[in-house]
Amino acid sequence: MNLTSNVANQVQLKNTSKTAKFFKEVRKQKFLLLLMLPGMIWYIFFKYLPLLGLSLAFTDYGFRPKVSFIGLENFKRLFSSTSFLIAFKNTLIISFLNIVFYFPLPIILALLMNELVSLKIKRAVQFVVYIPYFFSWVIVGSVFATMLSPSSGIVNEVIKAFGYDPVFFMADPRWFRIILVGSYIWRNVGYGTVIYVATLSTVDSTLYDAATVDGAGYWGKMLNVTLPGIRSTIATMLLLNISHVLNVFEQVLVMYNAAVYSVSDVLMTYSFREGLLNSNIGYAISISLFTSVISLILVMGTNKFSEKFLDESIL
Amino acid sequence: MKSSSRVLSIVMALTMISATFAGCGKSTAGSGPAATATATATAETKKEIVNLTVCLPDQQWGTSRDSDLQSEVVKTIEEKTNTKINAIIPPQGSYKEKVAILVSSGDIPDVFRVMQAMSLLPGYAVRGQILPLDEYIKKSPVLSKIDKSAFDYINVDGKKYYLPKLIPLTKNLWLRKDVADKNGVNLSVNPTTDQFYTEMKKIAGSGVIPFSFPKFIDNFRFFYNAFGVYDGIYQKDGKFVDGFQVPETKDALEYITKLYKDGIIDKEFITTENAVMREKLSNGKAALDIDYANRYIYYIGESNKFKVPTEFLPINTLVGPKGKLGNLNEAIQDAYVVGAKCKNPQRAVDFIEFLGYSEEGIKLDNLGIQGKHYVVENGVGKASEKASNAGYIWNSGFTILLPIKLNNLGFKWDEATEKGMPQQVKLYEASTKFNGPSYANPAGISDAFDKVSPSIKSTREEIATKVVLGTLSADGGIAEYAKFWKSIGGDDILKELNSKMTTK
Amino acid sequence: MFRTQDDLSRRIFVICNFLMLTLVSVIVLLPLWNIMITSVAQDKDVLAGAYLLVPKSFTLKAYTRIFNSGYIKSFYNSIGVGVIGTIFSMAITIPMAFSLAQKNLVARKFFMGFVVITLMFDAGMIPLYVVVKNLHLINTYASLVLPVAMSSFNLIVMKNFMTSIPESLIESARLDGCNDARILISIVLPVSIPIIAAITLFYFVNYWNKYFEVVMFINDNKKQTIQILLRTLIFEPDSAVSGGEGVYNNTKMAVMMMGMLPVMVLYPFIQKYFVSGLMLGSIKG
Repeated sequence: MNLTSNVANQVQLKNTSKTAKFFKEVRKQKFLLLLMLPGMIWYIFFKYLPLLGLSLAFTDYGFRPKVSFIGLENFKRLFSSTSFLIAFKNTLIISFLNIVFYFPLPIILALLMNELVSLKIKRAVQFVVYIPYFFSWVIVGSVFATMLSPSSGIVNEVIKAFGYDPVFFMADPRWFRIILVGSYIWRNVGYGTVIYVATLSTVDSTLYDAATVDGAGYWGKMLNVTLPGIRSTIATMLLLNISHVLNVFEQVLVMYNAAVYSVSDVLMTYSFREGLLNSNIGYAISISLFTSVISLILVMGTNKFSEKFLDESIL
Repeated sequence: MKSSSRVLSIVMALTMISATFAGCGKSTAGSGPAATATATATAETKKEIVNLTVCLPDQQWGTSRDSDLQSEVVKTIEEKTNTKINAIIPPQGSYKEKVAILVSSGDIPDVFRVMQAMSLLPGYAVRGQILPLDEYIKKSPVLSKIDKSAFDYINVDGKKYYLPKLIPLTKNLWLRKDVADKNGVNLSVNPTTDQFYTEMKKIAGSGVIPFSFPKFIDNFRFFYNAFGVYDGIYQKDGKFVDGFQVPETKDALEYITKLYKDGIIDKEFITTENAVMREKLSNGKAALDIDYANRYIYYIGESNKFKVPTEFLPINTLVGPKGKLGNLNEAIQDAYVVGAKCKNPQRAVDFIEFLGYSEEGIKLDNLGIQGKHYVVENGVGKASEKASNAGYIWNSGFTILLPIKLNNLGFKWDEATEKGMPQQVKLYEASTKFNGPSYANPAGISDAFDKVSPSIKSTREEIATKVVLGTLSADGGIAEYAKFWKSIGGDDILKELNSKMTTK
Repeated sequence: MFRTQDDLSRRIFVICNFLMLTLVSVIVLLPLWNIMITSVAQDKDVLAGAYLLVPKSFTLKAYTRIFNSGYIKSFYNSIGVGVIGTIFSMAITIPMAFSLAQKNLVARKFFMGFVVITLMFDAGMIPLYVVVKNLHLINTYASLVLPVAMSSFNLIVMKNFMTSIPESLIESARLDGCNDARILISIVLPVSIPIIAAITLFYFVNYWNKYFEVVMFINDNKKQTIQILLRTLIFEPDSAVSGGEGVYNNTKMAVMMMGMLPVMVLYPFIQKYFVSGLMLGSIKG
């Protein structure tokens, strides 16, 4: 009788163990879960509730007096619209350029600043580099337009001094994307640097001592201690950058003009113009949904890549 | 229909539930829709205080952006119209966006102003977002006197959906007399395109920008008119056509390109804001600009401020090789409308009548309150410092464009303005002689057109800009536009517009 | 500038490093320098967009004009929203980041997914407006703080930092009998000061630069922030009759400077907290 009841007990234990274990954990981590509560409430109200509006992508909300469900029609229109496809192409190109040219710079800058000897100079450089981030895009756009003016801008003065003709950067389709990326770098590089600099403090200082003992010089320490130490931060920053890079909007809105629409109209400016301002809200939301899905694919892809090659899942 | 309304009601229900849980926000007084209004339409309700949500840009409430002064203006209007006003005062530069959000989210204000009315108004009417005002206009002695033609431009099932704010505007080219004399430039008010080119060329290379132009490509219409071109979708002889795709467009574009290439049009026009363009003309850095016909007084004053005073000569229109001419073709640029959710349309119209069509209201709108916005010393009016520190516009130009005549301002303008006003009035009236036909965006007729009309506009402007800047040849530009037109099924859109139009 | 043990190649590197960072700083500073000297120039020196590289005159007239104008209120509004908003944001971000950083958190994958999805999916302005309206927050200062309080980006950065805190520290604390609350307060928070300082700065700058949200949610001119003023001054858009009266460049630049001032003042205080990372690397070099 003991045997069978033992077996019965064991079976019972196994069946209830999963859910019982779960609730036991929940009770054990009451404090942690409580800490999550304010944030979670915030997310529900201000992120997930509005997300219900994504369903409007399948309607023609805003466009006619009565809202009607139109299924995938908005999406069909997206793919057959030349303006949308141009905006999509521009978005991809500009995003790609931003990631490739912007992303490594804060890392390099942080490492270089780390190599300076004087703390005072380090802090000064950090400060200076971060200043442009304080400016909103409206100011940055105006600053760049002034600097690049063919008649009075300083860049063209230098070009003229070397004997070349002035270039109208802001209106030249060949240069404008570069200007967008350049102004993006100018404004944001300090921002990225701050995060890496802050993370440098988590590198275990004993590792540096060990490296010295092993005979590593400055380069050795940078490549073998510092860089690996901030590796996970780099991966996370890459992922975070990729997640929102397709949403570039305000920068383009304040800087572009009719001469460069074809190379700089992006998904969000297109949606703004033909969606929101045209009262075609369903269409605007379908563009948002499309952009979100592409971002999701990019993020998941990067995460998988990081898992495979860097042995680290970022999320 | 069922599934979408279910979705919307789920969204609404959830937000309602969350609202009862939240309840943590503090609303300002009267921020909800008309809480205490009663909706009877008899004459006695004029005495009863009614809630109105009014959305007007921040330059309208006495033109000063100082929030204290604006509150004073709101209070005064409340007293005069017996209303409690929930004032929505977005910044002028983002007014369009704010109204778009308000209207699209269903939070339609009771009274609001539509700028660029010729493009946006038909859409609002067709979507049922604004109310027809015929019955209220008929009842009002003042409003029923408005010329019928003001309502002809925007025709949505024959009803009147708006009240114009200003009489339609024209633009002139304003020429500095001092630069003109210095370079021997002699231009009448309606020179031919060749004369214009030849004379203006004399200024090129002299260190002064011959023609300071703004980045808004609508201004190209000043040139298009000389070639008989209207670059939008409009009805020609009763049928809808795309005005950009006529053979004369090539000539027009080549003319503008010539002006740009030979240094007459400012090389940097594509990044020039209107304010910068005006500044250049006022301080002598440019000889010519393109601006509204009531700006004479403004430029006289500004050039004085910059210590380079001169006379300003207008050019009303250019006459093309085939004798065509014309000015802006905008129908109604600016209008007041009543939102569809308004519970007191009669009082809303009364409000508009006060602000836009009564001497008192117009003075409040454009001048503000005597003693606060401006003071009168020895019979001469002067802007107050508090108002001036926040963008106050002290300018007599507005008096010319009003739908009613102002009898008594209560003060005289300063000497220079008083001297120049008769000339301003004369110049303005002369400019109206050359107005071209007025068109409005054919919105609300065809779904296919409405969906893509912003892209049609932006592509057209993009191609025109590229041609003028030299990136594309005129032929290349026209070919590219034709390609775009085909890709959106432009001809089918025209067919739909035409067929739906005849069934109306 | 050099250390005694440095050899020639190292010294060359240090010089090049120094020169390059100087170059970067100059490129960054040049436009700022122009803004600064234009803001203190006299009216006559700034006509028609004259680009100043050398200070021509000095007057604080532009600043006094702003202080006396009706615009000064928007400056105080920006400061108020920035300070309160940042405090609120940090109050909800830090706890959540800490919990997410604990590798043994129950349903961790779910919570992470919950957050990451919001990074990519966004329904745009209209649904957010509808939610804020139904919460009766339209035209309140709360609407400038609540809907934008949490940034998933900042949350993940902070969480990432906290996970890289050496396990050994936390393990030894647990062995000593600390519960989660004590671990948070006595160990994680002090060690995380660099990232907390950095994220505080980010949140503040974010609140300071918000524009579209102010246009969307605020109806009353009294509650507007300084970004509205900036845009008005820079674009001065044209409409029918009314247009801008000539606001000279020096006033524009003065407003830009005031737009940056609080952040610039705040920064040096915060910087010493997150610069400790820079110290570690150099000392051990």
